[in-house]
Amino acid sequence: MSQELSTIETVVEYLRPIDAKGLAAFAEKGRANPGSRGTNKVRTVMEGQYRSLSYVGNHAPVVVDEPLHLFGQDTAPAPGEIVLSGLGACLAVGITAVATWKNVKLSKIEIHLEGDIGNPAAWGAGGALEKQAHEMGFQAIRVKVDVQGDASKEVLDEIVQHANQYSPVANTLRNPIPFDISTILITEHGMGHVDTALTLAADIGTHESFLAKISSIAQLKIQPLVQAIDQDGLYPEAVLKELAAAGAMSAHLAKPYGESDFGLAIRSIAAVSRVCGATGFMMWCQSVCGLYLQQSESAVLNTILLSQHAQGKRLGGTALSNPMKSYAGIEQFLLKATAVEGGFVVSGTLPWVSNLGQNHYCGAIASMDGEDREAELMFLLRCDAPGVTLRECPNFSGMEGTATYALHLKSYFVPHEDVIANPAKPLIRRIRAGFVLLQCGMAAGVVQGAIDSMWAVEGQLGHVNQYLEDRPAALQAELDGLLARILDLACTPFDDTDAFFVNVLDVRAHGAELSLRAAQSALLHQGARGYLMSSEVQRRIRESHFVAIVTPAIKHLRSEMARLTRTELPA
Amino acid sequence: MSWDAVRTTEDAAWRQYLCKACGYVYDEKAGDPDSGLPPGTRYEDIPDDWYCPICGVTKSDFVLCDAMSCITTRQATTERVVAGLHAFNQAQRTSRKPYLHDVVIVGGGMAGWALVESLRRLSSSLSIAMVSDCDATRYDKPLLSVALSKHISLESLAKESGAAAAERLGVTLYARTAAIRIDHDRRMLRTTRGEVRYRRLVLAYGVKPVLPKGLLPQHCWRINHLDHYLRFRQALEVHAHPRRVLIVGAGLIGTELADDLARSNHHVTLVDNAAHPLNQLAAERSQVEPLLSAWERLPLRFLSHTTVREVSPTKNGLVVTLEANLDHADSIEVDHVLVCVGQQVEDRLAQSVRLNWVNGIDVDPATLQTSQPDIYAMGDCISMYGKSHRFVEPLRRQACTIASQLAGMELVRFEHRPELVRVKTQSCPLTL
Repeated sequence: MSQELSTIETVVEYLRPIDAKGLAAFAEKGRANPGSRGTNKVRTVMEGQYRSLSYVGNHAPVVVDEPLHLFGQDTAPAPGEIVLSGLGACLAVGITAVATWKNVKLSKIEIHLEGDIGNPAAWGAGGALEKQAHEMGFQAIRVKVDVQGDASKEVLDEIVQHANQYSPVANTLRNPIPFDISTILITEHGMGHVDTALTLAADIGTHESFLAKISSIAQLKIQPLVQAIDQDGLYPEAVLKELAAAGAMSAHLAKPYGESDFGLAIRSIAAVSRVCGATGFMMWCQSVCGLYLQQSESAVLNTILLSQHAQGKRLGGTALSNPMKSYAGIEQFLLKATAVEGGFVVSGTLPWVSNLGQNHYCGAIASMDGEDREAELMFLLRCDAPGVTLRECPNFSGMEGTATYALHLKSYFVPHEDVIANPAKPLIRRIRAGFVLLQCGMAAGVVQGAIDSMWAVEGQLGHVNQYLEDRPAALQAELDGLLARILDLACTPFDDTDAFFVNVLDVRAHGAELSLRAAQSALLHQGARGYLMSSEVQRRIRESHFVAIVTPAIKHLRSEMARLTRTELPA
Repeated sequence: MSWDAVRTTEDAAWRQYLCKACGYVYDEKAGDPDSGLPPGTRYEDIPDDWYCPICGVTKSDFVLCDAMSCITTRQATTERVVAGLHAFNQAQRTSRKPYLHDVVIVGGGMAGWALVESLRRLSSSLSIAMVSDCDATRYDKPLLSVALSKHISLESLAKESGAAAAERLGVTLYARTAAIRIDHDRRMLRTTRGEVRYRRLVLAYGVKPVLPKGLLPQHCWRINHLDHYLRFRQALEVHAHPRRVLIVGAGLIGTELADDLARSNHHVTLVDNAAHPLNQLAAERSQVEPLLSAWERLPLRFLSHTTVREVSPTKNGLVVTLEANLDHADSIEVDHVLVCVGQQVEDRLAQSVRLNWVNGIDVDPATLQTSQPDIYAMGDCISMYGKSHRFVEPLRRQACTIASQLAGMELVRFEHRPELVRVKTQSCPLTL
């Protein structure tokens, strides 16, 4: 003890090292393939005034502003300062890399950057407009690096110069770079949003690793709560947010430069529904609400709120059960809207809307009063706005933790920026297939869970279970075939033809029918133990009933298929 | 029992003759009292000026019903059919899984019923289900284009209700049920009233009329079905006086309906983008000249090289914008627009099980089997060597071919025969 104490020396705290082996391998790859390059992607969304949010991957946005004297709010660095930040960060990375390569341990890197810049052209807004390109922007950049480590000043200096010579951002500033800028045309359909959507999901890697991650969250975080969610009304808000942050409810929303993937969104809902149908249902609520936001024409909804929603920072649901039935001629519209200055006023009551809470919201549709009798308004209904009351529903047989409330609206004001679509019908026609396809994830998960329960007792009870209909292997084959068809249809979710929609309605109906059969058969396979109130097959029977009755229920699906396949003639 | 036995022997004495043009069967025992042939009139005794009550062709176009006699080896009695049905109902009640039908027929038109009749002649025990998106009322389709001028009442167009025919022939009828998808791995037909399980499936679902792009369904009648025809006639006859009717498309159906409506004093405008009516069947205008002359005496005008650009409703009816020779547009006002520009086979069911498809369901010309085992097809929805043959005459022979295989008997090969197209324009019947 005393000996150790006597050997005290100056403790040098080194900077956290990087993976030296990984770096060497990366360098090796670069030598083998000198032409390789990737692409950096950033989406910058103007919030208002001079303040913008730049979204990169799934990170918190980079906020940029201008100082007060340049008419900004000075809430964040200015664009030029962000450029210098990028340069500083890049040099710091380069110095770390070169030092690692040279086996030099560093304890400090602090870089001081200055750039001389003026803006007499006032961004081209009528200032000194005779300025030439080379006269504008940074006219000089000075960088001082304070670097310390286990090496002589000469070695450290060499490391810095070497890093500077190879720094991507430093070279970006030194080189003239081919630079192309153009405007994006938003099509009439609003599908231009595919091009302009925000970074919505984490980089999900391969589909299989992504789904494995979602399944593991379901197993670790939801499995212990399933009984409480189903019977005791526990709303698993934290896990829902975690799933959303992992990208489980946004694969179908277009990423900045990637394709939206409805199939993956369906499979991630299925992965969770396999463990807990109620949570899978709320994922559908959140996913389809995201679709409304993305497809809306309001910049308030389809940018910032959409991004927060996709990342699970905000939660929402869908109040389209009643309007979907109204469009199918089954019910009257329950909400009525009247145009007023600055927006609309909506009143009425919706019986059951899920995934709600005090600061949640949902997509809703109201029929228009007065001259626009034939039109409907689709809007974002914010639960915390004046005029909204959430009322508890009577007890359900299961799926109690779905945060399902009756919504009472009394003179609820919808500002123009909360309008999702007016008229609503064209948007509904565009998203109806996606809406129904996403629900198929719930059915697929419930069926898979039921099949799991059958296999669980096969070793013990297989000798008698062989006499049952709907054995697990046969159900699995049916489910696999169904899922393949669902995923095939999910490749073209915006096909708005009736012929396509009939096929979508059929897979949804088949999913519901199969859920009923599979859950029932799982109970028969498990026998008496499956009759316990706490049994998971009991819960799955309740979940399968839900899949069969939630709008569009089996009877609605069949009625709609009948309607769409009939020849329409004059009255 | 004894009554049936007597009837069976008597029936054997009476012969039946098939109209090659429309499939109407002249039964010597029943005669044709409407046209002055009392029951029991022998074929030989029919005067030469008698014509087919359905399609208007003459006696020489009838042939002895060999298609039927070829499969009368196992005549079913009514009792046996009913007994079979009873057993089926019992099974249906006690089984948890959907009942497994030996044969499921998709389509309740002339083709579907022809198959049921052929099957029942061979077997009373096969369980048969029919899935029909309409009521499956039995009627003679060719009558629809001559009903007005032949003064056939709307009530008498229907020969037998689908429910009654199903009862009589021991068929489980799923009426007003749309077949959505074939799940062939499970031998399950998915419909709007649940799943129907089959051993063998026969597609006889016909065609749907085409509505050209730009025309709206709520403004345009299309007639390919008794229901559609009845609704059209009811709308037409809301007013007692003649109506103004525009018929788009002067093919067989458009031309016959134009003739029938004009003979009943309705004011008909028939338009086609071709130079003369029936141009698919008659390459030369001279072939249809007699008809055009006959039409000069009727309230019927034919506009050649004309297409319909738009139909829009007004207070008094519909305004139709016509485009002639692609250069000048003209508007006319009419009460009804009837579109007869063609028919197409819906491909949803066929695609769901990846049946070979060449302008319709591709079938083996001898057996009428599709590219999938245990699935057969007949009637308007099929094609042979890439060609469709949408006539009534082959239906019974097709039914006979399929029935022989479903009943496990020696194959009665289907033989394609060149069609004899009779144009049932009463003011001047044509043969093309």
